[in-house]
Amino acid sequence: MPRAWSHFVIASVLSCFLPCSVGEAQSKPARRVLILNEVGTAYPGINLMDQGIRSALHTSSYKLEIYREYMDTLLFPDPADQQRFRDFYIRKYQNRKPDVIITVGPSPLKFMLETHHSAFPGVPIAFCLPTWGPGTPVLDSDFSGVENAFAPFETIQAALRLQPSTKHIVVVGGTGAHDKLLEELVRDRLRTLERNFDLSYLTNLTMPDLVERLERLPNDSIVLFTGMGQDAAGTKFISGEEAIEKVVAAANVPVFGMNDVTLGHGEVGGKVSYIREQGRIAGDIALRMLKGEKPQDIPRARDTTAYMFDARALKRWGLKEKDLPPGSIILNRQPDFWELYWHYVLIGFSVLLVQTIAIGGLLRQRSRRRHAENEAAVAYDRLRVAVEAGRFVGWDVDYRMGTNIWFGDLQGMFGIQAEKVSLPIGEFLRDVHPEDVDHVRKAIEDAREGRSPYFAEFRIIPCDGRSPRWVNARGKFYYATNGDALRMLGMAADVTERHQAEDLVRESEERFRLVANSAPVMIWMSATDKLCTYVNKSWLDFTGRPLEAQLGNGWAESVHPQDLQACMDTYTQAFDRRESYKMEYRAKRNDGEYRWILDVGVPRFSKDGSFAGYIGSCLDITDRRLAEEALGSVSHKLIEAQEKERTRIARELHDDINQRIALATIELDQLKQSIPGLDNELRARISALGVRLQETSIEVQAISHRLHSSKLELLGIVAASRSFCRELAGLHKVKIDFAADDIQGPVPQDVSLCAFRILQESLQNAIKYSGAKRFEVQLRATSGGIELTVHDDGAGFDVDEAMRNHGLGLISMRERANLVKGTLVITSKPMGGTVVGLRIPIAVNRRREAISGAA
Amino acid sequence: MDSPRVLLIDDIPEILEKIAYLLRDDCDIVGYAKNGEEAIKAAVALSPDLLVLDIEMPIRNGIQAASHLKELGCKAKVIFLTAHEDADYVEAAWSVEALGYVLKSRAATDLLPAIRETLQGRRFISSFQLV
Repeated sequence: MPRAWSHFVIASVLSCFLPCSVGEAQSKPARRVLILNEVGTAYPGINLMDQGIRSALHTSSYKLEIYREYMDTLLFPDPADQQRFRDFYIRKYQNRKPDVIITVGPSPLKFMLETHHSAFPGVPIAFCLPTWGPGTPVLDSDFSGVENAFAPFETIQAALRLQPSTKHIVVVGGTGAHDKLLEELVRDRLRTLERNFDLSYLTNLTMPDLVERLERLPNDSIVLFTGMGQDAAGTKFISGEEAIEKVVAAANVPVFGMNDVTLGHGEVGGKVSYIREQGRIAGDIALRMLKGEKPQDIPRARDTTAYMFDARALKRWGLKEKDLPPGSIILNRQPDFWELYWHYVLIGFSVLLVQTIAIGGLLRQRSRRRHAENEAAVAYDRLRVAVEAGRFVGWDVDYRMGTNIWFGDLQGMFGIQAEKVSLPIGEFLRDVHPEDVDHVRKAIEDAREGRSPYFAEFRIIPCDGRSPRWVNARGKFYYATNGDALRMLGMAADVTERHQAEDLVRESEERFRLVANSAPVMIWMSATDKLCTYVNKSWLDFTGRPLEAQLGNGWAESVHPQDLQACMDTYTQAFDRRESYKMEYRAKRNDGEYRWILDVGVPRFSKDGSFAGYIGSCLDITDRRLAEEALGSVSHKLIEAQEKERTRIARELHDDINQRIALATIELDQLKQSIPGLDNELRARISALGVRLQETSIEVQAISHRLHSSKLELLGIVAASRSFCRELAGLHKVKIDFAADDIQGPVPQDVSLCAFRILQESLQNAIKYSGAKRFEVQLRATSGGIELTVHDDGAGFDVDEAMRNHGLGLISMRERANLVKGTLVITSKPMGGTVVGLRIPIAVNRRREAISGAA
Repeated sequence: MDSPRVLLIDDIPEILEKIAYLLRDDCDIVGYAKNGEEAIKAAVALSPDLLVLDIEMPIRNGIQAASHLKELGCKAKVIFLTAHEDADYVEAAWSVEALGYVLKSRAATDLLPAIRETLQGRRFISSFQLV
């Protein structure tokens, strides 16, 4: 004890002389802070707490005088000693009152609770590490501070996560005052685990007993170390670490703890309290108090805790980091090889990579160079083969060396028997035809100066005595950076045969033009784009216009405006279908007169069968047309005259002869009635005479009807046609199906007569020649006209042939149709039946009838 | 019964003369016409009971004249007296509402019976020897 006292005295004396000055500024107002500690600084917890308090006070705007005092309850637990310490401190600070007191641990706090009213009236007190036992004392308005946040339950939960097989929980603690407080707190918190685990407390053993016990714990156990200041034998563990190190060394199972003081000495960890942080919070509260805040206005804080573990201990017990609670802090983790040397590894790898890339690049370059060399060799071979096969000659002029190398078919072009020759530059001009030398020289100069490709076509005089060869040469210059020509490469082809062919074509064309220009017809040609490319001299003479004015579409300017559209349509449509065509139009002659032209065009094809355009000839057919028109007009007149004469005779027969016969018959009847007593024989003779007269009348009427159908006038085209078909069918014992529309409105006489006559003609022809027994006749009203169709399924005939040979009937039918602007179409083929179709417009004939009627 | 008032129409004067003679005792001949056009005018002016009408005439034929008179609302009965021994003409005659069709060669025997029948509103047609 005297030894203890001497320590105490020295410590107290020193503490008086060593007030720590925090803050250097002399001008700051001074404040006194008294820190009352539970135990001495040998305890690492006290040091940590002090560091925390100082870190907070350091920020103060005051010049602080900090005084530290120690109750040393562990070393001097005797209440008498403690009372003496209290009395001493009260006296010590009687005339040097602190502005704030910070208590660290339960004993200093208890000291202040009991004495501050009398000894330190009005001085605010900030507490930390209070470690309340059961039954928290009531604090008055001078106190505020930090509550402990011991978390034994959470620590055990974390331990169970790491070692789920745990069945036994062993709590290890000491017999010191603070140890007992903690044990009580832990017992209180772990009460709920007693049901599921074997929970035991090794808190009242001597250290050797404890060690022995700890060495023999079952495998499925864990230890919770609460803190140990003194064992059952009264042995004190002043330095704090001493006890934990013995416990950890002895225990054959992992040891968990509740604060960061013991962590790092072999303990696994747990949900631990930050002692230093607690000190900092207490320091903060003290500062607020210094600034004048009332303690009752400063809410009590709570210590902060965190899941914190020691990697070395985890490793020792084979516990997995992945089983730790989320957000756990791991201390003392040994960095692995990668963490220690990652930058060296990275640098090494980078160097290796760069070297590999460089080597790869070099290899690739070598491979490409070899590939390029191979390609160049192949390209050269290809060129050589092409040059030889194509009978070309190549050259390579090197201006620096002054050489000109020629290779290829030198024999064919120059008559030189070699595959390759080297000549001085310019030497080759000696072989060029004298007439072409200047032209070649200029082409080379132009290409070199203008940096353009060289092209020339000229003649070479072979040295083997053959006639000159035509050569087509192409080349290219290569230049140095200063602009001088370095090389010229080129290729020449023998084009003599092409020239000869061109000459032949030229000759052939000249012959054609000669023939064409001397021909009496007009000849023209067009290309594949329909545009005219040539007209002969006859054409130019006819139009009186120059060649340029005729080419393209210029020829169309001579065509009569009324005929132009139809003309172009015919040409374009035939052209698009590649078909021959024949058309007639009017074209203006050089004297301004429009002449009728017959234009016949046929497609032209090249030797290879490709379409090349059109060629055609034109003939002035004006005179022929005039003759035809005159002839047409004559036949019209003939038909008209014939019709007129027939009508006249028919009328004569009907109006005169027939009427006379009728009168005679009436007379006979009257005679028979007027003679009374006439004998029977005479009466019979008169009757017979009457019958004969009547028969004569009918025959006369039939003749008249055939010459001119009065029925047509009297009953109209439909009735007349139907009647005619019926009569003819009866006469020839054939079947004629007649069908007709109800034709509305009057049909002009000319129209109905034409239709009737063509019906007569076609039916009579068909009966006579076709051998058919069945016929169909249709008479229809169309929009603007009438349409007659006569169809038979008989032998048929060749229409063109019939027209040429014995077609008077057909010709007269066509003429009759023309007379009324009608269209007659006869379709027939041998053994395929015949269809005669006639269409006649009515309006135009009605106008004509009105005009002729008026006239 | 009074004699029927008859209008005779034919372009041949001899025929007109002969018919008038045949009808002299039984009919009142109210007028003559020598074509269709005149027939229309005379019929409108004279309002006869009966028209004895040739078919084939100049300017306007008998069928056309009868058709037009019907359109004008003429009530006179119509007998066609014609040389046409042809069914088509008979059909055309009926189509313009004529009641009698008498062949000229049979006029001496058929015309008076035809007049009597048509005035009764019945049709009469000469028997055809040949059709």
